[in-house]
Amino acid sequence: MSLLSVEHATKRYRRGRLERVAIKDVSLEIEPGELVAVWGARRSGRSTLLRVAAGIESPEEGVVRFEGRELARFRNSILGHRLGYCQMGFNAADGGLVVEHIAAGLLAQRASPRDARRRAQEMLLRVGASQCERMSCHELDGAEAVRVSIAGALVTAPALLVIDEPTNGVEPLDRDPILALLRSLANEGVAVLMSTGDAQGLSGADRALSLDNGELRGEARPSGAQVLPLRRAESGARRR
Amino acid sequence: MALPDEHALEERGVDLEDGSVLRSQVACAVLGLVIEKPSHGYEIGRRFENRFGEFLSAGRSSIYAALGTLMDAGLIEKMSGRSTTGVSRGAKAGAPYKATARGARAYRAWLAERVRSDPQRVEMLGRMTLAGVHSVEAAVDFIARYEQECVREAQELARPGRSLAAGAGSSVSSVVERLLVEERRRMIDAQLAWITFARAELRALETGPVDV
Repeated sequence: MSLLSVEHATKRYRRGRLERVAIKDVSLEIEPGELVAVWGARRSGRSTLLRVAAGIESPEEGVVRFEGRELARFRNSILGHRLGYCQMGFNAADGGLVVEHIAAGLLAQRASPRDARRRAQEMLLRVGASQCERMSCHELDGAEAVRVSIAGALVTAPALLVIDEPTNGVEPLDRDPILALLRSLANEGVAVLMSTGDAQGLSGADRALSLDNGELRGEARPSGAQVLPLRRAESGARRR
Repeated sequence: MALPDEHALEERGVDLEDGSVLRSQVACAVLGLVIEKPSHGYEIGRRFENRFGEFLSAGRSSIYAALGTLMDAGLIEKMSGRSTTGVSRGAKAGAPYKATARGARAYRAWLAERVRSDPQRVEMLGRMTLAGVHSVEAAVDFIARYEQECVREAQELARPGRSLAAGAGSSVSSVVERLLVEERRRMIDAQLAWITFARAELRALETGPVDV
């Protein structure tokens, strides 16, 4: 049994009389500890595929299973628990401190405030963003925001992390360290499903799936892939 | 130009035996010509001279040797003869050569890998592409294989052991290495963008002209 299986998923969007098929009869499986990158151009359906795979949206046709359970039926007990979806960007309501933002996921699961805060600090340290702990969410730069987002998804110890374009909006020199972070998480056993619109995002992926016009076109897998950082990864994120 | 090793060819969907046959550029060119149009040996020789003469030097004996090798590998075959009653007489010794489905697949796989790794020979490869990829279906298959070559290289750019400056140790060599990796990545980005464009063009070709 695969950790995640997407079986013949089709998703359409309608606007008035117009209908667009975002993904069409897509099937894929992800095993524990795998880093899978979905490459596609803009409007290829890559973001839709990730939202469907994470249970954010349900396919009109096909089924998504996580650890054998149908995601559409058990979404509330899977998403935000064993499956972490990295929510990129922060809205105006996220005015609190980063550490509070991270801890919120655990508080929602009735963890004690003390435990939730300690776990949030651990995750910020793990993703190299411990210096962001006392910052407000709107103070973060692109790379820090991605790291904090990953920490927020990791705080519930998921088996699968889904992240849409992790290097989007990140300065070029900060991108490889983020990819190296995702690689290291996979090496520790957390499966990662990510999307990318450029060649850099494919670095270090165990499998690369190419998506075009909503259809999977191919799959490539080198052996022993690792990220070669464009700049040596620091123990923490960029120093201020 | 480095030839792909057997493991690499196998991973790319090229049968090892086919990969071995396709190490010969003359054999590849002959296969492309046979895919383009089933022909007798002498006609293939004439078309070879017209199409590839300025790039590849091969006498008639080399052309026939290549045809024999391609036949042995099952990439081409003799066309079956037909009587006036329509009853098949089986393959005839003097019948024209035609490509097998396996030959067409092997050719596209070889071409996709070679076009990517050998940009200096774009013109010759372009002529080979025109010879062997002459339907929308074949072009779509070729594009898919080309894309897989791009994606694979993007993944492998970061593989350990590919360090160009291994052992050099200086910060300058390290930076130069990373810059070279980045140069390749940007080249691949351009190739992937071209693939997206090519697919859109092929889709438009399949759906026909749009009324305006």
